[in-house]
Amino acid sequence: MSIRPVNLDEFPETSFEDMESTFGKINTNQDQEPAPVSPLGRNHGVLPTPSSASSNGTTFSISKGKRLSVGSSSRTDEEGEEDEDDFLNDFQEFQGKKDDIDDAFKTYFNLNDNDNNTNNNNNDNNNKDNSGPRKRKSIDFIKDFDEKLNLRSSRGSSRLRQRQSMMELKPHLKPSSSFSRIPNSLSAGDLRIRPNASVRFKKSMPALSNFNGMIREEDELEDDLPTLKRPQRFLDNFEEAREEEEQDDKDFVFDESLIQPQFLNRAPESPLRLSPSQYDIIRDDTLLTPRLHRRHRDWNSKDQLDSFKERRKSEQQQQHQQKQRRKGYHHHNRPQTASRIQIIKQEIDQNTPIKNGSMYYNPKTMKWEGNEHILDKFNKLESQDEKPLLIRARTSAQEPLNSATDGSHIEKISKRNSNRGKSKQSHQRIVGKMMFDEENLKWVNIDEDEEDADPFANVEDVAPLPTAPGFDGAHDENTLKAPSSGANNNGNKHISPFLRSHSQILPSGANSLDRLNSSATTRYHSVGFTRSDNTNPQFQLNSRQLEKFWHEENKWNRKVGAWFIMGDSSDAQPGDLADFNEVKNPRSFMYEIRNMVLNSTR
Amino acid sequence: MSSIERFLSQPPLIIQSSLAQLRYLVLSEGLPTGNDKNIQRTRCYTWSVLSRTSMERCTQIYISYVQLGSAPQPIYHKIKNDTFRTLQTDPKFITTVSEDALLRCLSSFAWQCIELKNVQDPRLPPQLSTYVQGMNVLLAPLLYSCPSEPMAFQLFSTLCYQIIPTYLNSNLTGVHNGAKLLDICLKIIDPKLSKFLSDNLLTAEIYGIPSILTLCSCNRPLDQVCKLWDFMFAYGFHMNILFVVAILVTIRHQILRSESPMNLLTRQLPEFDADEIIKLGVGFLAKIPQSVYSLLVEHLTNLNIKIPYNDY
Repeated sequence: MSIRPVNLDEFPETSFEDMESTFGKINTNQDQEPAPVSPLGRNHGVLPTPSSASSNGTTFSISKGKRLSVGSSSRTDEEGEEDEDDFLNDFQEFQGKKDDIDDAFKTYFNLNDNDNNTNNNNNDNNNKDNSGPRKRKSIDFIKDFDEKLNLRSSRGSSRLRQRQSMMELKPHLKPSSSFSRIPNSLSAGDLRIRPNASVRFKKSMPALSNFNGMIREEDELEDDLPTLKRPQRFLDNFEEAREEEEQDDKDFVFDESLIQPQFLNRAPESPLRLSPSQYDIIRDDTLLTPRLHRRHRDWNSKDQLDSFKERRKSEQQQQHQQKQRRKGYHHHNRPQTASRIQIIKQEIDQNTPIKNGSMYYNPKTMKWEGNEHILDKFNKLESQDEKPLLIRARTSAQEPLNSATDGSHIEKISKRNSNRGKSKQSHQRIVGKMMFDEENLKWVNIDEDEEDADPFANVEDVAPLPTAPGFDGAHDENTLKAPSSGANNNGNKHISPFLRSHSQILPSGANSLDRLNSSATTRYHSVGFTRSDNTNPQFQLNSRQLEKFWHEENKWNRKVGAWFIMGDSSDAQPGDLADFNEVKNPRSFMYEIRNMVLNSTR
Repeated sequence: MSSIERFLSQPPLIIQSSLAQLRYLVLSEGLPTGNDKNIQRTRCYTWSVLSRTSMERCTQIYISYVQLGSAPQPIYHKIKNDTFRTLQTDPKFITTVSEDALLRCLSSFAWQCIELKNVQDPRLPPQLSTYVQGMNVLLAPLLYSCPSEPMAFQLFSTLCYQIIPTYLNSNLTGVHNGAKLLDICLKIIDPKLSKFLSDNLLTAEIYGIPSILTLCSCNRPLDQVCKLWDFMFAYGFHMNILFVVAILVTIRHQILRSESPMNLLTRQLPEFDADEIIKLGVGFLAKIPQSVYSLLVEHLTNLNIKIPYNDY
């Protein structure tokens, strides 16, 4: 469209148009309508329109349609005078708009009544067809396009006036759609809302109108708050104002409509130059922060606070009661949370040692002291070895003295063995169908008398330990018993229950184990041989000793293990005297020193 | 770290030559004395290497014997009768070695002897006694010098079974042979002293048995005993006879002047210095004829030697 650039050209010019300059230009261009015209034009323009608007009320369309024809005729007259400069056309447009506001609005109204696009096109076509001179056409075009622009921009809203009101009201009035539709109609208009629009459009006091609007809106919002009393006052005031404004509205309604197109055409730069400041103010102060502040203020006001007083009093009374129960201490008007915080306090005074039972707090080390002796038992592990590994139930009542006097389990065992016959009869632990076999330390079913076959009967003993049969001959009363099954078969019944598993008793002749296996991975918590005839606690190695043994052996292995052939146990065991095989060699070193001496002396 | 420690920590290329080097190191430099852990370890390692005593599985073996408990009763009784007075005059030993350790080791040895009796092996050494008096003293330096009981036990087993098996049979055959050899050596080395003692009816059988049987460990101080043992582990415990001679020689003036040399010799011998004794003993070697020296070597392991006692 070739018309676009025209519009673009217009905008910068319009941007330069201040109120005064436009008037000046208008004056220069149009001598017939000097500067006073514009104010008068406004006033005059305003005056006739309200009558129609007010009279017609909601039926704008008819009046607008009528005016369209009038406007067109008026335009032609005005535009004929403006033939001189294309350059001035823009101003003429502007002037025309200002001067012939009525005409312009007539066109707008026409457009508004019908569908915007169609009307515009029709108008354009009509203008082109009707108006012969190009200037007129161009002017019409320009005007049309201005109209179009305005209308397009305002297309969303059905009416121009509403549009203007929307422009300013929108930010703060969201529910305004209802009243914006019917701004000037007395019948439908809300009393509250109307004053907003009416007051604002008073030209004598534009600033006030704006500010009032803002305030009112806040008031309206405040009205929603149930606790606020102020808004009622304001409303009362405004109700009075409304009455006045209602009267004025009849006159002023069309003022609004006349002014609106100007704002709509160049909304950002209104001739009054108040809009930007208004926007700023609206957005910044009234919308967001003031409301919030107000609330705080309201809450802080005594009236507001009073509404809460009763509750707090009741709470405080409860607190008072609680505190007075404790220490009679109370503080005024403090919420409960604050009091809770105060209860927390440091319990340990750094300067004074605190005693709690047998414990003392040492402020220097910041530790509690007094129970160090508990750790002493860990230093007496050796003494603990004397305790039996297996805690057994007291088997017979005949033995209390034995167990009480001597802690050694061995004697107990021997005693019990001797008394076994008796104790078995008198004291058998029977639970349900199970009886405890004290000899074998297992539970046996009473019903099944036959002894279970030894599950290991077919398994050969890995390493028969010295059963010392030959030895038995020499040293008669041999209760000696290697804890092997062989010994068991010999007729010695008692095997120490404290012996660990047989696998732990390694045969000294088990040479097949290599060094790696020898390094102990198993830990013996305590190993001891407890026999009925052996009361020696010396033969119970505690864990510390065993650990030391393994440690030293492993250390030897690391240090000097390389001097020995792996798995060559001939050196280790005296039984396998490999030296005997090489009779001369092992003794040869014994001649070494003599040879040295003899060699040195010679 | 002594040179011996360093040498021990290096794996030997050829064991026999390395052992010879180690012997020479022991002779030339010696091992430190004391019962500090590291000194203990170094000495124990040295002894184990020189005596070819592997500590492999020693703990396992030892525990297996300890689990058997105390030795059979008559044996244990004898053991118990001796252990409590083992080197009671040596405070260092008392603080280092407990009687329980002695009991455990000796009982374990007894169990080992019992066990080995049942093994029919022609290669076995002559049957050892489960316990003879003096074993406790013989064990003392080992327990004193080893960081753990199993290692001491292992060394003791090696010593008894391989080094001096003839000493520990029921008749103490080797000890008596050693006494004869002691007399012979003394006669060779110090005829005057030998004559003095024989004039006082003091033969080695009378005064020398303890030192021979215990390999001088009955003499004080124990640290010096350990030094002697260092040498003897290196070059052979037959040198013990010569060392006894050396001890006698060092105190010969006292003996010769003594009113009752019997009391002097049969009771506690005066403290000796191991280095001096070793020097003397090694020095005697030049005078010892080959035959006697062979007897010295043999008498430790060979029961069937004939000591030409009357020839000297």
